[in-house]
Amino acid sequence: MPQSRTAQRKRKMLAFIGNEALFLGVILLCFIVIKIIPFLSSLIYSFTDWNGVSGEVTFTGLENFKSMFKDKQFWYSMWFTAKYSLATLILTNLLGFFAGYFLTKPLRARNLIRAGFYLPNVLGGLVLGFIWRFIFLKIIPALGKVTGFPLFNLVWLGTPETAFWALVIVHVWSSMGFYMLLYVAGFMSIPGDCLESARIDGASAWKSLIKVTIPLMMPTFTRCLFLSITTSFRIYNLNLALTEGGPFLSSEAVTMNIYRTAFTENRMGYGSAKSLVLTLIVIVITLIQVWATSRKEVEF
Amino acid sequence: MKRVLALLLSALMLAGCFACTSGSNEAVAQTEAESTEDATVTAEAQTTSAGEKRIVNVFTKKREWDWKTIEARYEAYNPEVDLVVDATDSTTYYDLLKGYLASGDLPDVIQITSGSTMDVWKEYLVPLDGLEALNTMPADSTAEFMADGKYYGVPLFAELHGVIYNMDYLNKVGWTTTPTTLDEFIQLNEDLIAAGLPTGICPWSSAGSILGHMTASVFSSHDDPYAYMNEIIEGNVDLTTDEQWNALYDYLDATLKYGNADALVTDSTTERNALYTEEYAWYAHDGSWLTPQIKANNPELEDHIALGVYPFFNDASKNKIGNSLQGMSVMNTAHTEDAKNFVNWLLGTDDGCDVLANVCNVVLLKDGFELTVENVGALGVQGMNYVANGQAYNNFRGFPTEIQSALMAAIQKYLAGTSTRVESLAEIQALFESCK
Repeated sequence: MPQSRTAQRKRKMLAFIGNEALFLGVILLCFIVIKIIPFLSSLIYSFTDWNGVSGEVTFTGLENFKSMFKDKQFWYSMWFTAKYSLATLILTNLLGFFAGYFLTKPLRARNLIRAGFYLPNVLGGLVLGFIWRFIFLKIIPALGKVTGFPLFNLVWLGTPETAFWALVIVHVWSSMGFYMLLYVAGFMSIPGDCLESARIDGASAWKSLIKVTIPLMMPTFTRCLFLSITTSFRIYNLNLALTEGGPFLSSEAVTMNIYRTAFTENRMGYGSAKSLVLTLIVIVITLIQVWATSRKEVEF
Repeated sequence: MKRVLALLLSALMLAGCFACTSGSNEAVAQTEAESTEDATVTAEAQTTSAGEKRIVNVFTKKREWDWKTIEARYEAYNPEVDLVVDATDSTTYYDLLKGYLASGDLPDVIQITSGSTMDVWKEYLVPLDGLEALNTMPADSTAEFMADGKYYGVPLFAELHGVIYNMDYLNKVGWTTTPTTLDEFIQLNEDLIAAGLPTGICPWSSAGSILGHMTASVFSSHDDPYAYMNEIIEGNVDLTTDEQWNALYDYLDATLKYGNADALVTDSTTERNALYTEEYAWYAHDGSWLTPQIKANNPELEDHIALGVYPFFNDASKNKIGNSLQGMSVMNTAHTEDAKNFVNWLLGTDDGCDVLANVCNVVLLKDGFELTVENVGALGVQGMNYVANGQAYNNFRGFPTEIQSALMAAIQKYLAGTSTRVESLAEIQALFESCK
């Protein structure tokens, strides 16, 4: 009897492993091939002087990391990206939250308005960038000539300050709808009785929002802020199509700097080291953010 | 039931993965099919064709060329070879080439520029010494593709660049020739303004054209441009007082003063569109590569378009146009001999050169091949006249790749007015010196 029990346990275990392998195997294989192996390769290359083409690769130890500390443009790009991430994080989430808040109210054509807000998100970064490049270079100056409005008379892509805000405007415009949908889902997941009891207790709409809705929405905030930070730190397509890093590399985000180093300047080893540092920075920032917002989550 | 469902789902996922793989293979097969003369042949016929013919893969950034005609003419000349052309945009060309390298699927023939780019790819290229086409071209042109005493490329065509003028506007203010000095360039602009005519447009959004093309004179005016660069790197040249660099900046000043106000956000495409629609009298930097587009968009422009020297100096003998050579190389693949034969046909025979000149409108370097306005356009013919008169500088291709973007940014800062000339030139000098 004990033998058959052992055999039964073994069979169960094998069946469990088999099921796991069947369901997870393919995806795990894809994940390893597409994510893990390139990441490990990049890690190895970051300690070499590989140019991305040559068969000769020399181990250089920490040389790339030492050079990075002296690379003013890299740290400028990092700072630019951090500022950009902060600006887009605040604006997309603020606008997404309030759009979501109003679009959970019983409005006419609510779904149509939601679809309208979400639509720009469907367009890819490159297409968006080219469309807005045309708008900034042709449409806005033409409007400036007609109206004389000072904002329209700025050379939007021609100075470091305006190029930064041009990127932020397009990013916020395109991704606000996505965050709005997440917030709509968050609002809809709040039990009606919580809000109802607040109303019975005499809470105003504003107080109810601050004291009930927002605390109950903290899991959504955690997700939205996490997504905002990771996507804005990885900005590339929009940066390429809209400003190409210009004028004079002043709007070059860190991913574009890494790409330029690795591919245009043929310094794959150095570029890998930069991407490793970026990964670490993003991990640290998102860990802090997830820790900070998760602490404030409440259960109901 | 659960097990059946699990198996079914896994089978579906695996099928999905394989479908993706076979899909990309089909795409490759489709591309190959499209590049054969008869795109309607069946799949079996393609396999047979590929089995019988030897394939030569050509990777190029000249998307605008009529490659169908080149394929047809070469396959008629050499029926045993199936020429498969993959043409892409110049901005992604070398990135895609790296992709081919990573996937172990290098093309047989590539387009390449000499200097630092060729140095990077040299280990995958086959020496072309002995190729007949090399003997049909000027020695100073073929020498650009020489490294370690061997030829790793053959000049494919010359791109002749300078200031482009619309002579209709110039004629209206009494100018029958293009300006040859900076003072003349300034006077022309004053005349245009006085007559209420448009002046010019500068594509300074891409400072690459300034660095890659317009510094030709700065470096190539020296007997040994590489030695001059090494002198800068060693800190033996003060760029802030260097006559050549200051002359380049004098010209930039004039273009900023008389050109479009939004020069820093104007790209080459915008400049070219303005040229085809004849909006301005001069275009600060462009060249003979525009001929196919001019012929397609505004053929009448050929009658009154002119290529002028970069008017950096007030001594006309110092002002020249730029001559940028593009080359063709053979990669170390299984089809080296077939690839060499194709390159030799395209650049060394009358048949190949006829296609390049008459169909693709490019300025060839083959000795004795007649270049006319009908085939290579007005800009090509005028450019070759400058070359024949010794009024052209070969482009310098030796900039260290790691500082190129920063060099462009230093020039753009000056154009934007955020740094002075001295600051900009000092920054350029510091960048060179960082390569020590």
